[in-house]
Amino acid sequence: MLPLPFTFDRPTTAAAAIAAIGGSDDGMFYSGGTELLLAMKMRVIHTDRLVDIKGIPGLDRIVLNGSNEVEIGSRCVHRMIAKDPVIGEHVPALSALCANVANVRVRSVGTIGGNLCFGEPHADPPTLLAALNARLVLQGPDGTRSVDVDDFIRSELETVREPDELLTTIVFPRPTGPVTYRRFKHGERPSVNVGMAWSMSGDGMIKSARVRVGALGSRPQPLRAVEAALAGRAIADVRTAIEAVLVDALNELEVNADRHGGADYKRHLAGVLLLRNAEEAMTYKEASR
Amino acid sequence: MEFNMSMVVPASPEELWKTLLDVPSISSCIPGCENVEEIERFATYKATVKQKIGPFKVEVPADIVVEAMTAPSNVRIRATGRDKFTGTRLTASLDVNVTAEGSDSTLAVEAKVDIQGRLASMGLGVIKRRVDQNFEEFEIKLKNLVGAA
Repeated sequence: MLPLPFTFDRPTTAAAAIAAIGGSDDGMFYSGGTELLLAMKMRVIHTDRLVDIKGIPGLDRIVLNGSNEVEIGSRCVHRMIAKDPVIGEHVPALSALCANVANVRVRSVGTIGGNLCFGEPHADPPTLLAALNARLVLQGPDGTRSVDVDDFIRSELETVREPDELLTTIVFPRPTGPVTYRRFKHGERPSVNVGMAWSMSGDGMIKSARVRVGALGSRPQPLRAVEAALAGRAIADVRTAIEAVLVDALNELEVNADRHGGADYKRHLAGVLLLRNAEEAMTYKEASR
Repeated sequence: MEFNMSMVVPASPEELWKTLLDVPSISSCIPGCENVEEIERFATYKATVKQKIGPFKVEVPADIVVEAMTAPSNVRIRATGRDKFTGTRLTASLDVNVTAEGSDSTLAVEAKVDIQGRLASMGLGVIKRRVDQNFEEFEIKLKNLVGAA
């Protein structure tokens, strides 16, 4: 089936792209189109105007910036992130995640920004980026604003981004400890995923931890009790610390039963994945960094 | 998909019944319900229901039939329509019961929603939660309406 008719723009600046959306009823930014074009062909999404952002330079860079933060342009496709040396050196868990997203066609054209803006609960990047304490830079007609990934996805398929705000960059502090990500999946989308990032205090102690569980509810959720249990712990005590609080922490999560499995099953999986992440993180050697 | 919801409304069954039969008022409590037209009083109506989940939009011109009515306690309604954009067929059957609850009333709704067509591929989980949210919103609006009366 063909989509309903629409106008097509290919501006060369972010400002022109934003203005093009602002001047339309129902316009949408378009880059990889892995979700958008399929939905338009199925006619479950219709738009009067597509604004192709592939002609805008500078949105596909990956750098370690002067503030010791990793910056990823929103238009970077998963395959590019998977192969990028900066990501490979500082966040190998993100390289691995992007190397295994969906399928090879999606990885070649689907962008990290598109993935985030689609707000699909069963997605890989949002969970790990939330564990990494990433913020998203949105450029709109009145300037730019930053939104924490934690606050970006509001609910299923809904984000805080206004239609004429362009996600330009994803920024997160360079990790100073082990970053781990695991997921379980039946098909191409994760049924449950867990991302964890530790900051180390240099003597085999965990200074602080961020733990996010995704694909259970409408957006990635923190496991605050586990984070609190890990803060200030020696690596040797990690398993005991997590197990002491795990059941209660998992019971507090919002879990939707869906075709990926029942609520109890998905909760259990989250616990298994978390402990496996912890096992991996415990093997982290600061000396090798 | 089946939904069961009930709520206690601060009004007598007779008052609540009167509100339920006041079609413009009650339809204003239904999220996304517009352009309600009475074809035949207490028998057939037309309305448009609009919903948006993220970038996905549906617009369903619906034919509404009152299948049975027993004042002041029960009404059965059936709404059918096709989404303007995808042709997805939606059918909703509502069985609404009003019972006395002390000086207040209980409004119980048993709903069956069937979706056939491309929208069903969106994953019924998302749609089911949207219906739940709509019921919650309906409850708030109805209580405000009754409270303001």
